[in-house]
Amino acid sequence: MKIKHTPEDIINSLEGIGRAEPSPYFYTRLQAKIAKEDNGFVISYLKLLMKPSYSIAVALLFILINGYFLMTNVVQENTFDENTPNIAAEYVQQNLNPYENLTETP
Amino acid sequence: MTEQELIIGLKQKDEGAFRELVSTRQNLVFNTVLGFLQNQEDAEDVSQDVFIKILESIGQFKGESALSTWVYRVSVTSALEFLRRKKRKKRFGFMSPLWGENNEQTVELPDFHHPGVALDKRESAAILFKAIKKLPENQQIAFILNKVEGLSYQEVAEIMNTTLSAVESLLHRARTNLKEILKKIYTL
Repeated sequence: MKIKHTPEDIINSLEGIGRAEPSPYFYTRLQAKIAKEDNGFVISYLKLLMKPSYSIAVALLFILINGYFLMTNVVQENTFDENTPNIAAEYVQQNLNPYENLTETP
Repeated sequence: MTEQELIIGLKQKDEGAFRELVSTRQNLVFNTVLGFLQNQEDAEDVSQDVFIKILESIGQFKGESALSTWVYRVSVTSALEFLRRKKRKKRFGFMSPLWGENNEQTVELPDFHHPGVALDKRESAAILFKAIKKLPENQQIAFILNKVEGLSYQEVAEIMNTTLSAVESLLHRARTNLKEILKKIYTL
């Protein structure tokens, strides 16, 4: 490509450049964009929920939390089973003679 | 409305203050952003985002610099962010065909003609704008603010939060690099 200008000419070609202006009704369009962004918040949140990656992440988190509680419950259940005979023994000891009161004379 | 009143109004989310900000600074923002993006539609879109960002983050403005300096900073940052996003999209957009069925080019980047350039300089300016895109980011910022927006070295230094000598050095390097780029791209 042959060009008649020198690099110096090209570099100086911006001298005396005027300011570019946006097209008319810039403020009106800006206001419309702000209003759209305000309304778009809920929609964008719903869209996020619909995304497969987000749904999968939420499902995994749900499974993990459930798994955690399930495991802790199993441990608690085991602890309860170990203590059950003691509780039963205490109960039996406390109620050794259920007819104790009946032997008293009125 | 004084600058102080304007800032207070913006912090109070006063619509009149926002309208005043937009009407007095829209050309500044648009022209700066256009210098980086070199596309009128993208520049309008990013300029709108600049004003939205200003409205959202005016609370963080501490008044350590002039409001216009801060507006310039937001404009430059937004323009560069847009370009980075575009570059990332391009990187992952390799699936879209660049060539048609008959081996014709389907994507052609048009020359950018800045509306403020005189008619006799349009061709040279279009070549220069292409070369500016190849400059490192900080040289691009200094060159566009100085040559396209017409700001002094001191103003550029304030916007870039650097010293006057650093800006002088950046502009000197930008000119040297531009000469090299122009020599490489075109047979002069």
